[in-house]
Amino acid sequence: MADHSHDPHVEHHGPVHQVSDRPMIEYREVYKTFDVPVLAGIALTVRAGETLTLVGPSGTGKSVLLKTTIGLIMPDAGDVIVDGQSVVTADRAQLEAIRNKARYVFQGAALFDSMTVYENIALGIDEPTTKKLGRKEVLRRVVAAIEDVNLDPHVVLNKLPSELSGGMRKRVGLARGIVGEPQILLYDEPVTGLDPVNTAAVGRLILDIAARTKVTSLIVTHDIEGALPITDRIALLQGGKIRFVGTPDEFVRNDELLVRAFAHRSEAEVAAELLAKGEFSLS
Amino acid sequence: MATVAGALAGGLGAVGRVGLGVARHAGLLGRLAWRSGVAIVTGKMAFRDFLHQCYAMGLQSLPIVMVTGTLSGIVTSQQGGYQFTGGIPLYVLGSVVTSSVILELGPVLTAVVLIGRVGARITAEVGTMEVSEQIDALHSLGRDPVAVLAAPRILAGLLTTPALVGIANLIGVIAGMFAAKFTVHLGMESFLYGARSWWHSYDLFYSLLKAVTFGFIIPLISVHMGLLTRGGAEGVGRATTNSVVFMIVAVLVCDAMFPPLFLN
Repeated sequence: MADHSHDPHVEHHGPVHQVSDRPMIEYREVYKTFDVPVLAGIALTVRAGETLTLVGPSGTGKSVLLKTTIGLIMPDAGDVIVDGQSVVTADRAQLEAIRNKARYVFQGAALFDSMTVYENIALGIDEPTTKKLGRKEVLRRVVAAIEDVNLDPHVVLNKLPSELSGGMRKRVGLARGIVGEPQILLYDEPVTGLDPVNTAAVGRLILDIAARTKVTSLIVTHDIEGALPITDRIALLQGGKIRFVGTPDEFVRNDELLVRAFAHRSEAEVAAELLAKGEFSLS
Repeated sequence: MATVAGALAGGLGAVGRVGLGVARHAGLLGRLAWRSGVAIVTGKMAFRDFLHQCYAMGLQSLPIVMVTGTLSGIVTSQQGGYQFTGGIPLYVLGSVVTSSVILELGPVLTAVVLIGRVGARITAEVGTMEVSEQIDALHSLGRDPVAVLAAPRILAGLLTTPALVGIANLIGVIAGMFAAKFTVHLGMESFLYGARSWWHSYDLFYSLLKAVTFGFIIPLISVHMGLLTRGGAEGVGRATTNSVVFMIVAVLVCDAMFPPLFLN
């Protein structure tokens, strides 16, 4: 594969910010089986301050891998190390500490129906910090988070999730993720269901948060185009294993059909045709 | 021979699977009850939700509990009156209605109403939270779903069910008294004389003990079944149906165990 990294005529993808060498999340030979094997020896490291995007065919366990990070799903074998602490061997207090470091932005927002938008977002600030900050400061942070996700606090603050559109709920879920200024942000399909303008806005927000707070971000998405400018590295998960890890530039210039199918729309059409003929497999 | 052995193995396998299922539910229920108790005692329970559950389980259930209490008293009185007319002194009806309502009908019918009105709702609510990742969200936000969901519902059940059963008992007896007056022309004084003649204060304690038991197992099972929900809207429907069956069986089994344990 040709090295285009210093070629001025080749478009550069990905953000420009410093990433530490310290590993923040380490997946060590992670295995998980439900009815069929989903994760079959995932080995991947996300460095502190890095934004890593995880792509792959639908149903290949991307969200499962994301959930193992904070122990929402425990691996059958292997380990996940978050900031030096094993998730698998963590006791209740240690797991709580890991969860307080990380925030998970759920695909369907997962807002609590009986709570207002304010209450939902305020839950993103952990309990000890909430007590320390006091009601006024919590409100200020909630309002700032709502503004960050392009919503009007005066309109949505006291509404129930059922009174919001799908896109608005999604953005409230995102606000709940960022309000506590966590060290790790886990995004599960953050832009699915959003219009192009808000998709771009969320992308800019992820980039802005990463630059501003040095947060470590792991993004599961199908929106490759939107991910390229905001991610430091891309990993491709297929068949329970990581098939590719590299920079966005390396990703778009990779020769493998599987990677090309995800990197370029035109190649996806070719792959779909081969898939229909049985000459290519995603599983 | 091989067929018999195969059938035997199949039968044993089925018994084993049922046994494992029962043991699994029992273990999970025991753990949920213990963790809920710890959350209540240590003050980690969501207090606002507890008040809301008291309102939903207690006040909002009151009208239907009053209707079932009234009808149970009327039916017992009418049937007793029909059977006693011409054979047994009618004032005995006062005792029969009072004992039937307080010992059995008040607690059990209130429990059945709560299973339909409250238990099914809790399972559907918690099940929907499970399939829409809200339970995962609670975990991820460092909140314990047992403290947030189970503990308030169980404590509310423990406190409101005896109150509802007490009201159902009172209304049932009064309704039975009026029904006796209008159907078999038994005067209120005679009805009350009969009720007092065979009255044991322990019966009221027994009735409220049943209420506390039912008020504990209904929210416990309904939350437990909700947390086990898998598979979208269909899964929520299936879990709710299974939960209602589970609660009815549990209430009736407990009810059957009460006389040998507490009446003899």
